[in-house]
Amino acid sequence: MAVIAFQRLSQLVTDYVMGNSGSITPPASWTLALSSTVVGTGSNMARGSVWSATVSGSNVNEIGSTTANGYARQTIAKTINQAGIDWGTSTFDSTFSTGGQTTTADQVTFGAFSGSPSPGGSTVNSSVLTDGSTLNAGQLYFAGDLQTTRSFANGDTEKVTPAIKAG
Amino acid sequence: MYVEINYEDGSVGVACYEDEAEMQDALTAAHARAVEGGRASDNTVAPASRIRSAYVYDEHPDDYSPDQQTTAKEAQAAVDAAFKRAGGENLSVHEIAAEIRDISNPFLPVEAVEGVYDSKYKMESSEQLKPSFWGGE
Repeated sequence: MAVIAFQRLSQLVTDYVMGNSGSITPPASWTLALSSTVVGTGSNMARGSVWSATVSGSNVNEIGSTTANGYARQTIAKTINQAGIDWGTSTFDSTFSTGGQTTTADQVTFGAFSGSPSPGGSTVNSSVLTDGSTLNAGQLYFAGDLQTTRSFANGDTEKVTPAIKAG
Repeated sequence: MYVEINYEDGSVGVACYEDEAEMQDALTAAHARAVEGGRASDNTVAPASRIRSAYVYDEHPDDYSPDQQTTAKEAQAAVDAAFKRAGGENLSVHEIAAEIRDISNPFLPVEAVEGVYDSKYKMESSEQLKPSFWGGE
């Protein structure tokens, strides 16, 4: 499964964590989105990608922006083990080359869908950590391909459990 | 319209529908699939889960405080609450900062959610749907 960390996530480390920037700051909460774009290996999503309704170059295209049919972004709070959906207690992997600190969020549920969202009718390929609730807008933080390409029909739901390893 | 859906397995989803008829169609189909012991969709092996509660919102409940603005009064109350909870005169500046940061958190704190299927969001819902709406009991 291909994954990617976008520029904004790196910038949060360099500017906000290191330098306590007042302009490069984390959002009020994270949101998880579904995209028809494949993470890929250079020809699809790129470190400098942006959300766009226009499918071109390295743009990331969100599903459901024309016809939602039940699709909406799912919120992940900026907290650890609280009431709503948020991050879990992080764990440490001391492996020299591949180790780091990992945290996994609560599972989020998309839907129930009332039909096939458009765009993305039969080609839901990846999930993306972003911010805000407006489709095809906001910052990109990281993304990963889904286990399998999905399509949605009436009554369907989709469960995604995001995790991030910093190392 | 947006709907916060609380499923029996504890998962929570927010869905966006054009109108009430579309919402009822989707919720009824999802719930019926769970009652029949079916899958969450045709192309996954995950089981479907019954709907236990649903709250309707005019806007996405994540948009509780998207601009992350606050007032001096609200910020002071958050600082006071942090010191009161700590029960001491000294407190880490990061704990105070976290208390102020949570002013814009769209989710309720854990102690403010009484029932497991109660709404998890701070935003006031416009309606709580009755189980009969999606064919529940």
